[in-house]
Amino acid sequence: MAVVKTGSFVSTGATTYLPLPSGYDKIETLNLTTTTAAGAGTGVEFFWQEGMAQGSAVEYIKTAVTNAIAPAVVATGGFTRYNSADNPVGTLNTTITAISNAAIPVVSLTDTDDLVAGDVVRLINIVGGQQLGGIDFTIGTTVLNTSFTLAHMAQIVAATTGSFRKIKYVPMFYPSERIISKVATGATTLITMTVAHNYVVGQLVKLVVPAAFDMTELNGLEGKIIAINATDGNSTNTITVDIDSTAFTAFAWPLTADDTFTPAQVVPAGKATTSAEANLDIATHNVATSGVVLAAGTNSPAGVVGNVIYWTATKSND
Amino acid sequence: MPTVTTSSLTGVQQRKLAARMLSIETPKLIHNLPAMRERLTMHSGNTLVFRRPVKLAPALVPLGNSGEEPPSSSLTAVDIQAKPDFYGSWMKINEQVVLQNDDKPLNYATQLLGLQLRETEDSLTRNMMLTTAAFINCTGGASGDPSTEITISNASAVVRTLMGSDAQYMNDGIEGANKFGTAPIQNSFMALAHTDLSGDLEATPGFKHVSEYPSQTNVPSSEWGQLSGLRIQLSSIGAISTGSSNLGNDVYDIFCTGMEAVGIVDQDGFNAQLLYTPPSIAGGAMHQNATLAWKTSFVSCILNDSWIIRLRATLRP
Repeated sequence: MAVVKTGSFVSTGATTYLPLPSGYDKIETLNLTTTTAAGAGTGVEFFWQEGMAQGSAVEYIKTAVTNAIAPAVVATGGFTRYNSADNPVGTLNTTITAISNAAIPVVSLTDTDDLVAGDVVRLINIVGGQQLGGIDFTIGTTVLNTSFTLAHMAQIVAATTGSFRKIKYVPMFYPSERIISKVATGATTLITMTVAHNYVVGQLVKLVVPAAFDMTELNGLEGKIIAINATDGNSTNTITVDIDSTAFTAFAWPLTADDTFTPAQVVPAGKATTSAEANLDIATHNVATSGVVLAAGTNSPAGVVGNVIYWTATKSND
Repeated sequence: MPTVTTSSLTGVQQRKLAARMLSIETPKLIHNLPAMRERLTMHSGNTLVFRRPVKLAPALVPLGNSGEEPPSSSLTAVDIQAKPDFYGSWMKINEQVVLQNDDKPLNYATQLLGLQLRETEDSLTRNMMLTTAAFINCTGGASGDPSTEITISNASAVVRTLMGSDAQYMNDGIEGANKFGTAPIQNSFMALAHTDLSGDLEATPGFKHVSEYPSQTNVPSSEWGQLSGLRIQLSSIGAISTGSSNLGNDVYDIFCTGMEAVGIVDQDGFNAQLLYTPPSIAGGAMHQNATLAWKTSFVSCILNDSWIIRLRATLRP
């Protein structure tokens, strides 16, 4: 018997993910808002079936004068399968032209692909910034085919050309390790990470700080997270741990010539039984999921802000 | 009168299935080898908590003769939680396939599903370690990448770090024997890696191939040899991160573990199951289709982050 799933959502104007653990062979959406509203060139219905290219759709577009519906095949901006257990490493993009020495480094490039703020990229072979190579970064402000920022990275000496790969999925297991980008010393220690973290107050973390980062006093210490997301001045992707680092050597990234090192890391280490957060749920578990991603926009299935979208996904029994 | 030749016979008449099915590519399942297994008993919630007492600092100050009591020690512990998930896969087989095919499809379907089940469990532990374990980049090699090819100094650094964290060895040493080309093997931690690294390991000074062990007793078939204090298991499904080094090369993660570094939680009352449902039950009104399935409950987790290190290497240029 075929599996049919249905549902609806109000568009946020952003790409929308629908979990479909049974898989799907066909998916259709109806934009209820544009169906009844006047206006030309807006997508009303979208259709995708197994055999069609990923990212494509058949779009039924409202015509200008008659309000009739006309079909069109769109190669992009449609439906894309999503399985976060697949290989997360995307294709190589070689169009980076520069990385600035701003407090929040700005990466200039000629092709941003489909990157949006919040995506994760892995930088590769950055001339003048080799210390960033092979490391993942959550990106911030993104300007189409012009630039993106390394939202949580420390200031660096300006670099030039290089490449990146988009990391398409979050790590398969929670809680995952993270690379440290900055450390602010004090009676408690504020740690910023290159990729958005998902740690919670009460969790224990072990800190790995190789000699290349100077602050070796922090290496191997375990701390309890006492606050999350305090600002470091430029980023709120932080944890505050109960380690007094007042007298510690300053944390400093290696420079481009010192590129053979191990990055500094935060590694989840459980929970202290003395923690006040008695029912803290930090169990190791699998967060992989599969489904479909609906592109957003006037001519895409997830629509624009406020659009009411109804969807039906079908899995045949063959 | 025309002569009947093999060319005039139909395809069906010319083909015969060999009596023996060919082997299925079966990887060495190495990632659960070092794991400690525990059971989540039924009706006990969905999360198992592992508790590790935090050791007490030595009491170095003498009591003196005042009769006063020294400060008391307090009891603390660290909890590691693991929440099993449920996994499964299945296939539907029409009765006519079973009736008419001469390759016994239920037999090899069962074999394939069983392999899928075990490879799933192995891959889950690999991916868990890939996500959550602290890492050290190989340095000192000649590849020019920040993660260079593995060298004996990298292996020694891992062993030194694990020993410094009081990790326990996974393998006892093997005593020397009077056999040509062999040498004694020291107590070792276990390293789990991809088969692509076999050549690099053989080319690493100090590496001892498994054939040079004085005894092969209790040596797993996946074992490739020993480097420093690491006995290395290789698998074709070892961890590999495609094109992810600074220079865009593949990065190989070598999981180096001591005892009790990794745990696996089995759900009590829900062992891995292979399920066959005959057409008379699964086949609808016409009893046409059988189903074969497996399902299991599984989670693995790191129990002590100081007792496992992910050594990252690229291949020798």
